[in-house]
Amino acid sequence: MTAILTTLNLTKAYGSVRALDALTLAVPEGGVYGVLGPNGSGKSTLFRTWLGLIRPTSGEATVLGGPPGTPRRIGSMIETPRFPPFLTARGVLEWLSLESGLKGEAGEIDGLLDRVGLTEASQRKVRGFSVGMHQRLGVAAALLGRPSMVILDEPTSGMDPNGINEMRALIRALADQDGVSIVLASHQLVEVQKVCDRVAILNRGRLAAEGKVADLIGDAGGERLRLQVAETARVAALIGAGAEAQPDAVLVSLTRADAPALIRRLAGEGIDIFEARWVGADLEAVFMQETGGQDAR
Amino acid sequence: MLADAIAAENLRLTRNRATFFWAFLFVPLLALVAEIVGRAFMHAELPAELRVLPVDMADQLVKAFGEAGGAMTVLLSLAGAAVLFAGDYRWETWRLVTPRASRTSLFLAKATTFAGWALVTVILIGTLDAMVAWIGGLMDGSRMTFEMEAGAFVRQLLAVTLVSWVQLLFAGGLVALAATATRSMIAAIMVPIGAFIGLFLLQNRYPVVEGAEEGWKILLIPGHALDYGRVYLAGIETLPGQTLAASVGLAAMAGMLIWLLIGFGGGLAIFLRQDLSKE
Repeated sequence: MTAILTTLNLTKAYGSVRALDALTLAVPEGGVYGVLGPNGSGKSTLFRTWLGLIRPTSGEATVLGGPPGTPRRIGSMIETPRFPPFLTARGVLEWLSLESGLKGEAGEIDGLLDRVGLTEASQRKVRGFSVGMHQRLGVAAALLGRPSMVILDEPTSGMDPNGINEMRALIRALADQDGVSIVLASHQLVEVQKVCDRVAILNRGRLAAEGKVADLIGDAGGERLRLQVAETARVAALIGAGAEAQPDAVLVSLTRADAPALIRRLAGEGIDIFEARWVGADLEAVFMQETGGQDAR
Repeated sequence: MLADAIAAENLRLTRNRATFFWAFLFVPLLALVAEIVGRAFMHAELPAELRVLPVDMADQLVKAFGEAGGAMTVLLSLAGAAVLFAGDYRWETWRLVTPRASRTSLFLAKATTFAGWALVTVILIGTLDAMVAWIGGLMDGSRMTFEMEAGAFVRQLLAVTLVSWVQLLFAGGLVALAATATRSMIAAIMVPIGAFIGLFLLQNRYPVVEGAEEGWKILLIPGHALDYGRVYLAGIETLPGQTLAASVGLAAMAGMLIWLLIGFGGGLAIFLRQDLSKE
């Protein structure tokens, strides 16, 4: 497996706060790789380090086999991008193409504007663009020069549902048809599950879990009974092994045959059960398990 | 790579039409209008016998190019330099370009773009100013003269043009340093203005006494360096038959170079080591 992005004991400290804490990670070439984590888990810091925007405090990082900060044909979009407001969408791409030293193929800019759905707005100044349009233009900018790898931080942020679907399709097409390696961070776990092949989950600057999405979900333990109750901690303690208390429910690993007996026992203990249903494990379950239920952003 | 980055900076600067006009084109136009108004006033007010006095075009040209780096030009060029050097912090666009291009070439492209347009400004001001003087002289029926030997004229014209240009570059360098250190557009303009006031006061507090061994003042105070550099390079006589000593002239040129290095070199040094996480 060839790694396109790596870190080895990478630490970035801001005063006493460690945004990244001895993180070791290798992102394989090809496909779509997701980086997840709650607020302050170090996702953006990691991306900024790979892109050479910030310097690590200690440890190493590599990008396509070399150190970060060396000019390369990589595309990137960090958070919602901003552009000089007096330029048109086309002007932005012309400027970035020159600034990046890309000669560009004839029609490349038109093709990119079309691909992100901005053809009609190509002559409009970006000062009037919505957040979603900025996002689309940012993706077009990241794709300038046909990069072999694209790093996207929250690529669907600020987009409407149609835009999110289009972006998901674009990301998959880039990976599957154009052979571009995509590395993205997103707090929309459903989207990540749909689009990513592998994910890394960061928590407090450390690697909490890493692997193929299907494997991680499988490891999280298949189908579980979700009991919506008032005192989740007490109920989980009553059930014992296989029970996991969440803020508003208890997840229980057991067979369907054992479920009626459990519900009868809890009712006998005076527990009010407001809802009982079977839930399949998903990336959200993995995420909650690995990060202790913190917000994905 | 550098040529592409320069083209990119030019594209972005020239499409920022309002800033581009005020920074680099307004002063030449103002100089043109002022010269026309002055000529019209003289035409209306002066008696005919005074109006037809000969016009020395060599002197007109040297004077026009020598005054092209004046306070007004410097002040407005600060805006152009601030947009170039602080724009990427304001629009948070460093994150778009630094992963694909070297920081050195990005910074040098900005410096080169500023230097190029500053030179255009100086040439426009000097040319338009001298052109109006020439046209005015023709309209008044003045005799056009050229009372300088060709070699001396070329030397003086090049010298005053160079020093006027360096005056603008000095301003641009201070903006580059302030912009990278503070990451703020406002500070990129206000800090150099404060520095200019301070250096002007310093220049008046420590005047250079003719004949005294005061090379340090010329070396360290940019106003002195520019004044003495202009006289030295132009080969202007300080006393009849006497030009500036080479040691004084070299101190002046070293002073100009030091101040350009402090500005642009300091800005580049900071930029190369800077975290661009929050532009």
